[in-house]
Amino acid sequence: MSISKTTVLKIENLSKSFRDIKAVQSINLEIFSGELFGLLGPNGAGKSTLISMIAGSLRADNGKIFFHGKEVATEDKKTRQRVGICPQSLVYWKLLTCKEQLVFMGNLYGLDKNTSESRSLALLEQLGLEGKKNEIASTLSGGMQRRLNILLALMHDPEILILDEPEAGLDPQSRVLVRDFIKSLARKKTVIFTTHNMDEADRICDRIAIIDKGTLIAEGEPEFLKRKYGKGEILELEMETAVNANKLQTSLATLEQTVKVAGDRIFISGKNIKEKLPEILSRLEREGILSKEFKIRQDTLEDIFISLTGRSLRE
Amino acid sequence: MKIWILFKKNILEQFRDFWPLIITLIASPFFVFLYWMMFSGGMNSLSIGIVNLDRGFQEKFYSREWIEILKTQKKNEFNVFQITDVKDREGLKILLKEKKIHAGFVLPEDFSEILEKSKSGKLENTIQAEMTGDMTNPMYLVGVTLVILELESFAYKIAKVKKFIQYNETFSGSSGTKNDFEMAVPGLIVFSIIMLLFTSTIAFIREIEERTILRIQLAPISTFEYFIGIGLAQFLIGVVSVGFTMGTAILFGFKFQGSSLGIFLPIVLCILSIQGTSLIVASFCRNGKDVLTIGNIPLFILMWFSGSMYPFPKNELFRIGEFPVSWNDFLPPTHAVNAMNKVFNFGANLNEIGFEITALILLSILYSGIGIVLFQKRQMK
Repeated sequence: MSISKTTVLKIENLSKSFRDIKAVQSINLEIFSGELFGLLGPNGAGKSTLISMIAGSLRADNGKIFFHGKEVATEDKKTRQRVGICPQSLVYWKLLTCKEQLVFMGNLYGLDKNTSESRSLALLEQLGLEGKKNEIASTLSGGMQRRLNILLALMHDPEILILDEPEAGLDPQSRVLVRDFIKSLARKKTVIFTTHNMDEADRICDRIAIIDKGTLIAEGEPEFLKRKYGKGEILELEMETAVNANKLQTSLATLEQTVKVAGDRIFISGKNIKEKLPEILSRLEREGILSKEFKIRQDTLEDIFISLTGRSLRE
Repeated sequence: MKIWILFKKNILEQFRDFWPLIITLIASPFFVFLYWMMFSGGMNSLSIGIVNLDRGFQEKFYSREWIEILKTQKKNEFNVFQITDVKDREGLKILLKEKKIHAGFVLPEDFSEILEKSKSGKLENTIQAEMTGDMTNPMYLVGVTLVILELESFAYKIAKVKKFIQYNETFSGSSGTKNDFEMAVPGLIVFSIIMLLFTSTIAFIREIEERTILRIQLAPISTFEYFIGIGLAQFLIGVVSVGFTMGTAILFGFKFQGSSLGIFLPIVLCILSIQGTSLIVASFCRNGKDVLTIGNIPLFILMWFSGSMYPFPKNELFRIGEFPVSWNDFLPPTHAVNAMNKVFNFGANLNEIGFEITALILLSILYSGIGIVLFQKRQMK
């Protein structure tokens, strides 16, 4: 199934400040029906603030949000019902069983008893929790609680699903399960999710928006972003000792490469790295810089992010 | 429908978070039991006050002999009687009022004379003894029975004549009043409602603590439905708690009187006002631990200053018509205690507790209003 290019959600000049901190600054976005949209950015970039405003749990200072071309107010709960949100922190009823709370959520959104029951069982099965349906939620493992957290957002069958860091704190087994589940939702629903995991976003997102310091700095398909902002290939060297960055810049200056040093690692990026490799290694050796290991790879989204913001996602 | 869903969920959570529920439900019955132990349980000595007016006869003072016998009566090494010599009838009244004695006796001036003259077998007159006390106090009944037995036995030994003592019984204070245990029960019923403060506050704060309020806020449910849904579950717990307390009181001999509506209405209004108070407390708490610490302050104030646990003096601040108003009248349970006391102890009907009902309605609205505004402002922003 392909993306229809029908705009389901449009954000215009959305801003939000908390006292002196500008959490979100004039963000414009357009999200299409059925696409998997990734919001990337470091902690404090404004991702959670942005999705809280979309979900209606936070009022914007400025700007507008449109669902299917119709402006929606924060208080408009009816329209906001089209959105399901899975917050970053675990938000579930600790004293209810998995099934009880899914049914409760369904009922809150007006589903009748039978529909709520059947839908809850189907969802529990999809995320491998069918065997835990009658377990009190607080007794589940961390990974299972995370999965339940996602299901609670889906119980009322929303058109737009917002997942805030859905993979945070997941064990590898749960991560695969959740990833496959998110992929399975693609095209049936519009999924917006925030993540730190660039590889993951690269693999599953149709489009990506990179946010830093409350500002949208890039937006587009992953391949497009890599082409536009990438530098081609990257030579990554692991050194035996820490390296003087200035000395390195000087010795490699004529090769027209971008050099970045991070502790005992050197990243040299640019065009035709493979061809220049013998020359680079020879110059480093002359400077007494010996590498333990090196590899050449294509630009990743993380490299794009670093080149755009000057810092890594985890910083 | 939404209210029903929230109600069901809250009942379920309440039963699973059972410790606060158990504390709420058993605290008041426990105090009922405690008061019963304190005021109605067995005691080893009966405190008897005696006014001895006997002037003696031919240098014989039989009254003194009899009093000495009473003083030395023992059972299982304990004195059966604790005798207090009292100067006059007024002194007896004071001791009874202060609950320092269980029963009082007055021996007449001719006590020795009649006994002495009766020795010959010629019964010219009867001894007119007086006894007094609180009829509803079981200790009084036990006390007078044992004292009469001792007196009859003593008189028979002397005069060998039976039944020549007549007893004039008067009751201290209002004879129809209850004993201490029964007097405490109306307040303890209100206390069982005050204890609702914990479960109710925890229920309101639970959604905040677990951050599930986010899901509730995003769902198509109104704030009114949210408060009513939780409040209804807590209302039910309040009713069950009152039921438990009343049941325990009945088990230990408490007898209900007064109009059903006069009992029911103050209970319902008091539950509502406590829920309003709970919302105010919940506005200042972040989690269950906060409730158990911060919540103790209003609990303490409501418990002790409303008169639910112990009668609290009324220091008049101003008057509304004929009704004096003191500072603790601003605590809703004060009026519930007053209403319950009037109904249970004086058989008051709904009209006679009109002031209390009006005050409870106004205070319930005031406390709930403040609670809802504060909770929304501080917790649901």
